[in-house]
Amino acid sequence: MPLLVLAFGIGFKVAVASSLIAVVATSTAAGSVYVGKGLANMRLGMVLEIFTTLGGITGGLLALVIPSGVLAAVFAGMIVVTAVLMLRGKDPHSSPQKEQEAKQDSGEGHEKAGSLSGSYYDPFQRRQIHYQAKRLPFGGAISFLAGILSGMLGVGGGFIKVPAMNLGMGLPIKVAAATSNFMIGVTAVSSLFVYFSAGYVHPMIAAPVALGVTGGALFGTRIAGRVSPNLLRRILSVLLLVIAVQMVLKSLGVHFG
Amino acid sequence: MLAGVALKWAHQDFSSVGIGLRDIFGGGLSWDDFLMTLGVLTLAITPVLRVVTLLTLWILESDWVFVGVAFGVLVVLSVSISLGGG
Repeated sequence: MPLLVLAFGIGFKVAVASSLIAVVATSTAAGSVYVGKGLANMRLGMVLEIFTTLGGITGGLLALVIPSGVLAAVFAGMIVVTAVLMLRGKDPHSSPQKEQEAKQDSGEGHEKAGSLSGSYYDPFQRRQIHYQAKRLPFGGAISFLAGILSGMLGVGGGFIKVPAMNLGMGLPIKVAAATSNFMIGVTAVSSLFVYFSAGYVHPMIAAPVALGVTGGALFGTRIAGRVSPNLLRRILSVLLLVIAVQMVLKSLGVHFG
Repeated sequence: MLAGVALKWAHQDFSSVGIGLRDIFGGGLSWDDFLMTLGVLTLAITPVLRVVTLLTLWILESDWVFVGVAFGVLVVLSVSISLGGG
């Protein structure tokens, strides 16, 4: 989304609408893999989606009335926080043991009918991991907030939902990430139609973005294992900080070129 | 989407206009804009179909609590789609 605004001079709200379509494309492509493995807890995902979709509509409606400059500044603040957390975060593959764990595909997972619990086989720990979602009101509140941010800024909201589900609701990180991936497409759609009504969906921008994101995701999954996670984290963090500075300057009316 | 983009490229027409849901069904769009918009709309509908599929599966499993949850999500999405048609 920042690329559309900064490099192509596209209006912020048009870029947000295109970004929401990209989120749907990503969720459709990647989410199916996690659902197939049984890692995504769809019952929990649907419960949290009630709050997220309400947040998405709220965020989309707010975006129509909040000036683009303010939205750009909020977006810049969000990616600064993300960049700082990435720079400070520990590399999960910092030891040979962790690298080995990361290479292991999880076994088939199952969710228990009529409840918010489930299990999956962890090949590294060589045992079935059972989990039960806790603190549902907390998860609902965070999901509502994630939905608002998604609707306002065109993001998936996973950067809030995954930590909330993992740390706040007691879900294993793989289940939290898989469930979030499954959810973000539905979240994006809830606010996308609000942008349709306001005429912010430009097919000539949205269609190439969706096609590119889908192709990029397929390519990225092929090379992900060959790139050093540390290097990737540092490059992405610096890039995010540069983008954040440019977004803030743009929101203040300072233009380049 | 790909067909629409290819047609736009073939016509060397890179104009970009905002299109609403009513424009799609009301006619008046060029063939390439219609194809691209239809592709975008089809992509946008897939998460909704995901929820409908889960609703159907849970009805078959008689998991009525989550049938209600999925129905609630569909109601919210319907509100969003109706806002989009406005």
